[in-house]
Amino acid sequence: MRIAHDVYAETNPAFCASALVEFTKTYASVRPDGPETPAAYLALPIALSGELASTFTGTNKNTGLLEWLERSPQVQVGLAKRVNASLDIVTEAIRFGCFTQLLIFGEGAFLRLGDKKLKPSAISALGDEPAQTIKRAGRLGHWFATAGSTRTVFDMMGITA
Amino acid sequence: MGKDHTSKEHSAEGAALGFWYQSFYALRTLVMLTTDDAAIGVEQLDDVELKADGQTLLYQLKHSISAVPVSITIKSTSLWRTMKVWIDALPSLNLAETTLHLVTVGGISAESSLSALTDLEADRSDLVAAMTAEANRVIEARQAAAKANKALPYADRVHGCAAFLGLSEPERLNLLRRVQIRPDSPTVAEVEQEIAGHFHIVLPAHRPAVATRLIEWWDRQIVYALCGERERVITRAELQAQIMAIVADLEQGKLVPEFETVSQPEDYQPDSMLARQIELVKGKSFDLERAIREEWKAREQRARWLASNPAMATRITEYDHILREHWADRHAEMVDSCAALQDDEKCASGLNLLRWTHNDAPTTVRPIAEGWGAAYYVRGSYQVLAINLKVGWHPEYENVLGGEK
Repeated sequence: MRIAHDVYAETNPAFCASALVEFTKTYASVRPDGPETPAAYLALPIALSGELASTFTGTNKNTGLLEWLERSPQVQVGLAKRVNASLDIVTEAIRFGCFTQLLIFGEGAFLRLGDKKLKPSAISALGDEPAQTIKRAGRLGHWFATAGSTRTVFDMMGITA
Repeated sequence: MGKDHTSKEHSAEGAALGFWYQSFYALRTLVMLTTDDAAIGVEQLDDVELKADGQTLLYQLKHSISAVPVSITIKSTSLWRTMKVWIDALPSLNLAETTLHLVTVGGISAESSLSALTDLEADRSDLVAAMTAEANRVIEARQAAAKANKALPYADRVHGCAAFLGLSEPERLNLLRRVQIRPDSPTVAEVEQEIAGHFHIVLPAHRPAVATRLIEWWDRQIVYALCGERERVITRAELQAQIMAIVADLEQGKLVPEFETVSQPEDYQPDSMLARQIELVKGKSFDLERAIREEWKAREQRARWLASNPAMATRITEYDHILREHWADRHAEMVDSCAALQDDEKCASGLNLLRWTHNDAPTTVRPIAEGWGAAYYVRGSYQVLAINLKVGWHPEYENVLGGEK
């Protein structure tokens, strides 16, 4: 094991994969092709950040990415650092999701829902904070999908190639 | 008696808030200025004295915590007490370079002649006449009462009125030309929020935190100034430097120890490997007790950081590698020097290594963040790593404990 057990527990692939499933599901409800993989590397660190939880208060799926960013410009502060330092976490989540067939790594690097389903009982047994994380991931899925292409999303977030 | 008691309590509370209001208002005034050479003093010539651009600004503060503060009128005690303070200070002032401010939480009615004082450019002739008439009325009322052998009225105003009448007509007008009233000023509870509102360059999310920490610093400076432990005057440059330091702390994501004064729940049971590692080197009960305590603190801290920002996983893991390196250097030495020793001596060497992590490592290994001063993170993180067998105390801990996984 490369990292200490407590760090692993807090960022464990099974939980993160669950968040990615929710992200993919809501994204696909708008764009059936599903999200391109880079979008997952942007969405998951934000969804996992408890310090950004308050920025989601008072929003719904219709708020949209641009409106959310205008209300909470602090999201973009240090975002590149947050994303870059979380790359391994997202990678492990995608890998776990694919191994368990919750996710499929489709043609063109699109993430799609796999044949296996998450157990609703496991999701409903989550504590409040983890449940909120998954909810945030779902909301980001909606916002990213309605914002336009993946490149557009990255531009809006202030992260460019 | 009950009524007196209540009145006394309320009076003490109001007076305390009034003094604090002076400190708060001084900070607010300095924050609002755009002049870099400004400096401010409390309780010198006036409640608050400010110097900026060669001008002197004196402030008299009238604070009220009432839901409906009393409006200030030409008959108000606060007005006449203020006039007394200012007239007494006249010999020390160069009026051409001084502005006198009366700050009041209450308002002024539009019809009042005092409204002329809200604008430094407005004509004050009518006001001088009205105030002269009022002052004369007070003096005459007292003289009439004295003749009639009655109690003298307006005791709280008479000194201000007498001082005002003691000036010549031109002196009264010149004084009032330099007076400005600031009605409807924020109450003591509102000043902090208003101060935060002036930090335009600071990110909105950080403004309340900056204002809070700035006020904490400012209150300490006021106390030092009043106790003579620092010079009375506080410059705007000092204020700016303090704001920069606070913002820098927040911007750099400075890590703050959150578990230094908290202990683990009494029923807390750590992973059994923690105890097995310590038993292997024949650690004492106090070695185990403090290891459990520190492990809990460090792990709670790590969990809190990760819950706030998953990017901390990288930072925590990189620091774990540093901890392991420091440990590995010592462990390798110990393994070599213990190769030919008996088991008891191996245990003793291992116990020394364990105690190094508690007693020396926190000051030997550089902290996880600049300015981090709490020992528990280093001590406890070593125990977390020991649970994973990434570090260990006994020279042969991997052979003895590792085979079972």
